[in-house]
Amino acid sequence: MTERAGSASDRHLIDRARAGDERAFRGLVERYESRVAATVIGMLGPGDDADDVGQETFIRLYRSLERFRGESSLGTYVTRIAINLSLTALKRRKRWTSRFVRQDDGERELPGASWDPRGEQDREDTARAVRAAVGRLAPNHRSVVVLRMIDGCSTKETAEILGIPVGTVMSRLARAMDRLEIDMKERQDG
Amino acid sequence: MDDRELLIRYRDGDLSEEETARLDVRLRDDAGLKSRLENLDELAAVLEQGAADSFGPFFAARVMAGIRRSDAAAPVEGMYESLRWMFARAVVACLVMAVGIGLYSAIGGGYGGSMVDAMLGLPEATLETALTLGG
Repeated sequence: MTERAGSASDRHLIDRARAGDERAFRGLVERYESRVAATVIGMLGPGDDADDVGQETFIRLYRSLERFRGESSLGTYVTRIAINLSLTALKRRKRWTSRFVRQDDGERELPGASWDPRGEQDREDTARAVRAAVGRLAPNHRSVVVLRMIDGCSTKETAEILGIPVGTVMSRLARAMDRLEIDMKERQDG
Repeated sequence: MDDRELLIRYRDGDLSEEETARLDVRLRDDAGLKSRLENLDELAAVLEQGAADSFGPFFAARVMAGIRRSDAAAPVEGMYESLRWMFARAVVACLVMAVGIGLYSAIGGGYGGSMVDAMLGLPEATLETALTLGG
């Protein structure tokens, strides 16, 4: 989540990118791709949508470099752009789904697997089932789970990115983890 | 703070020494709570391991190409914005003029004819002038 040791600092790359050095900005993209991918793919699932939002995140970063004052770390700043664009994409997707897709079609798309974390079940199936369960969370709960549990942001950093109090992060996270566990158990029982 | 929040903060090491000691005792005596903590650990591990770490090959190249494309489109977009702004101002000016002329005509403006008649210097349109003009 932080700058790589031994490589140019974010500040240095930002200054060079501001001066028009494309390679410097490319360096920032390569540095933060994994963090943005974890956020965006965690929110939207893998696919073209996520790829588009990932690209748009960095294009927005490029356009806003002049305005970046360094009050938060670049990682926090770029994650905030990524999460906001992901939430917008989710709203767009929901509008589209409510117009053109029947509710039960959405359910059928979800990969099936049961919740048996300590059993013999294939871990990949469990991982897929958990990802699907995350995809069923409400967007405001999903964003907290993605940032806090998948991206590895601290509670404070999650609060800063989402612009909500730390207490709200904790209560949303607790409710979301409850929902995930119930969801997984229901799938196991069903 | 409910048990779930307590367990999350316990895993994060965010509880005070006293709260941690109290929860340790509860975890020792309460098999249900202990099982919830284990499930939380498993769920957290699966979520963490499932994190994507890339968008696929050539992502940085695609971003740079996207930036160049949007740079190339920027002047056209700028011109489109200017034209839109000019058009919006022209529409507002026309509306203001139409309302002004309408009001002037409605009130009379100290002249029997319309504002357009006054501007063009046309005589007041009455039955008498119409008959005169008609011969």
